[in-house]
Amino acid sequence: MEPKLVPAQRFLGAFNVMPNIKFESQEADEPVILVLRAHPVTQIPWIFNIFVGFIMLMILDLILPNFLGPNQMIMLNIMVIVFLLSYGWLNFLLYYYNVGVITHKRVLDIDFYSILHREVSETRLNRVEDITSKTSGYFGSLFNYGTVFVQTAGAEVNIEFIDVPDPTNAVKIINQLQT
Amino acid sequence: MNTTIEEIINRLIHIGDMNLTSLFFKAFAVLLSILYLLYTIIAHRQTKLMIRTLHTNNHGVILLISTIQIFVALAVVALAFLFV
Repeated sequence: MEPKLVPAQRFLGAFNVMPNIKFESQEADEPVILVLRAHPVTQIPWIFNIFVGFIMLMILDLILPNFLGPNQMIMLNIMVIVFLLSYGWLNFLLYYYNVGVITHKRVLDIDFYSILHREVSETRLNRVEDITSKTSGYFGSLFNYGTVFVQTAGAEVNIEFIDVPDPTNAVKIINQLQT
Repeated sequence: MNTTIEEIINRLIHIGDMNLTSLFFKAFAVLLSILYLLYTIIAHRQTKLMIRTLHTNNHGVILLISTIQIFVALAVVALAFLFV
């Protein structure tokens, strides 16, 4: 029996119930029930790096005009700004497309490790043996995020959704889909 | 004939009256900008793959930004050749 779920988007799109999302190997009668991304708080390090990068650029703008010409300074600024924005965009893409997808038939883990590596793991819900969630650390407890482990029968791949928001609720939904 | 080609190349990359620091800076800028252009092309292809893997409502905007990135990279390459 499928649980009664209302479409909802929480944690800035990191916890989506019944979202309007499709994936590559989706079957015709297979609606997406849950899409999980890492909690937005876990993205702070790269946002902070960009912030530091801009501050470093401002410091360089004070020091380097003694050594470089005006054209070179403009070019340096353009290049650093473009690289920082690209770094941010790449990290956003990796955040946005690294998802866990749960349908009423399957559990999928779509991972893009860098701009060149893609890994899609999936298992049927009837092959799932055990689902556990783990919340650890100061920030994990404070912002309510953790890891969901989906263990499967036999030699099938185990699936992990790392740093997803509200892991207990995610486990509850997967358990409801199983029964 | 050879002189004309040299003139064209010199005009294009302006290295005739450069000191060593300027030459190094220009070479560095050109090399980095070309590498950046290659990166944006690969990133654009990968973005298309990402969109195919997971189709969301925002795919148009994401593809547009990735395409803009290539044009920005082309502009940076042109600036590195002509402006520095």
